[in-house]
Amino acid sequence: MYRYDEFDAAFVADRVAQFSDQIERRLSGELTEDQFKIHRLMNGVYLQLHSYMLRIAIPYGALSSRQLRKLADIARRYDKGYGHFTTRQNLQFNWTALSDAPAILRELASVEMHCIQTSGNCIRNTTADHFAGVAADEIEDPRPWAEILRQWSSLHPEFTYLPRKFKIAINGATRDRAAIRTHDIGLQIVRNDAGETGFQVFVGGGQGRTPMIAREIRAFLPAHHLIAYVDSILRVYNLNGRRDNKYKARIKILVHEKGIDWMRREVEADFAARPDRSLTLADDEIAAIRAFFAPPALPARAAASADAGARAARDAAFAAFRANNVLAHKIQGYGAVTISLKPVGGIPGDISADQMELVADLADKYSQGEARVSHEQNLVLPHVALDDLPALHDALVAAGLGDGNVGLASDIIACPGLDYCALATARSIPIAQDISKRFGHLARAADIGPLKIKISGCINACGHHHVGHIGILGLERRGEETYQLTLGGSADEASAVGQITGPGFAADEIVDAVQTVTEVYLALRKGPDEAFVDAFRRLGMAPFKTALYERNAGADI
Amino acid sequence: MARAFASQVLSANRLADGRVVFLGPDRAGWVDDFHAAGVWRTQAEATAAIGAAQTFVAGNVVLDVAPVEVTGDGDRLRPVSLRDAIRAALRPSVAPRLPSGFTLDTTFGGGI
Repeated sequence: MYRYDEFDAAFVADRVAQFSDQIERRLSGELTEDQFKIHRLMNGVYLQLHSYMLRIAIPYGALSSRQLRKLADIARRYDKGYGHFTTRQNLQFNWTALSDAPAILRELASVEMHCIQTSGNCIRNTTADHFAGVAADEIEDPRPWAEILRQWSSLHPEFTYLPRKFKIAINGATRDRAAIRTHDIGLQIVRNDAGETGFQVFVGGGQGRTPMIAREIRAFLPAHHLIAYVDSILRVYNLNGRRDNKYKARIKILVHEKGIDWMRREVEADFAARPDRSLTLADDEIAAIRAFFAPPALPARAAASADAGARAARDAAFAAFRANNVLAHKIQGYGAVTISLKPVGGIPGDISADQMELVADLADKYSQGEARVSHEQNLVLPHVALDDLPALHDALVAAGLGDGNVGLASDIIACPGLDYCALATARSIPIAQDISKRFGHLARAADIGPLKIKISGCINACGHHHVGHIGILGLERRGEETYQLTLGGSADEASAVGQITGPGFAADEIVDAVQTVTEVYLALRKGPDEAFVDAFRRLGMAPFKTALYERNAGADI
Repeated sequence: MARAFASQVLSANRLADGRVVFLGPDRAGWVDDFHAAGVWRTQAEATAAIGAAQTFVAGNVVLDVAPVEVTGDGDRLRPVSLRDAIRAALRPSVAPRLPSGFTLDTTFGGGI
């Protein structure tokens, strides 16, 4: 992991002191709320439905066991003993006090963490593949580049007051596990014919009220030009992005209204006009950052684990955990284990202080002290020996973290929704819980196979519903919660925005509607090997729409 | 035809900790129990209440004063909208669920 140097530590300490002073002046009334709000947001403090919410940055999802223990400590002392991992690999505490923020930020700084730029119209946390550095299908580890982007974007003097928030994601594997095409800038590591590393650059993706899939702006960008080119994209956006309408201020709107060709011309012109070597990354700079992410020296192990195999043969729950939650590691004998934060009937992404400490202990014992946060609101222990899987599973089960449901119907992404969020129009958590219980039986979920259900409690789409295989959007109509259903969304290399099925469903109808969708899939799929999203692409909306709306229309006749 | 005035209470967030509070019946302070809030049944009462509430905003006690339409009386007093009901309960409609043996600070306050 990246470790702060003296500059980084001083940088964060200065920011803590600055924001602490701003808080003091706000509490005394020297600053009005209008004057203070912009600083509050850029330091990750939201005013939500019940309380202030603090959003802590977890750069590209990387966490050490030491940091997890500190988060647990903060949860106990300053919050209500739990936190929530988000779809941007950050952590949220829902019950913090503004008056406690200075103390919390000092605690975070002590473990090289902060809340800088987790909100506001600035460049937010750069997210990355949660299996970075370990996945067998990886081209190159994206984390060094994500760290370089983080350093460049932190308190950038030109990009602190953008037209709107700005989100960057980077992926280094052949499978896109970072949803890069749904971001303002998406970066895919590629190799050219000469074997040189570069980036396929996408721009103008986003969800919210106007979902768009990003467009390719550059097929191959040499790696050492990463910062210069991204800087040029930001400059073009900052100069031309709309500031007249908050809902049309994202770069996706600029790309849509002006066209990708216009965008490319502008960015390439700015990039070409740079003074020679301006922001070009030097090899020694790249090497210095890359050194922080050197793979750990893992002892050699057999490719397969007899112990784990024997356990799976007699323990169905462990077999499911092993099949669904363990990704093949680059190093034989190891796996990257996803810890599901989606217990059946539980709240997606929530974790208690005790559970955080347990995961920290397990990270130390089984994963070189390292953990990751995925944008799908789960945790990852990236370096687990296959022989350790049984013991790890036992420990997770005892803590309520042992569900072997990763990638299945009960592995739901859900935003906090109307239970917590001041922007929400409907609840998302109870819907997620009910769906989770309906599809919680492992055999049933396994039969359905890979299915990404994503739920948002409002049009802002923090639950990423637009790119769910089944997406659910909670709205309010005439005082009642109503849920719009979308099908066929995808956040991977075949990214697509889901299609609306038709009229929305009431809260007591939506779970049945989801079940209907799965029943149509099961009836019409070519076979168990045809996943839901593939079947939908083949079949189209028609059979699902018929089942949802027309099949019952004649029932009263 | 003009809509009849709907009874309301006034909510706000306490500046220091962000917690939801309600203007008390004497308009001289804030309470964190929805059922202890002042209920304003005429436009004139509501206008006076908002005026009183704004002095607390100016005094850096609370922020984001918002009227909450209510129905009923006494123990049956309820916010009309689901959003306001969740907010008035001072807690989410779903509590975090944890397996036995794991602790959680369950001091969610209030309740309706």
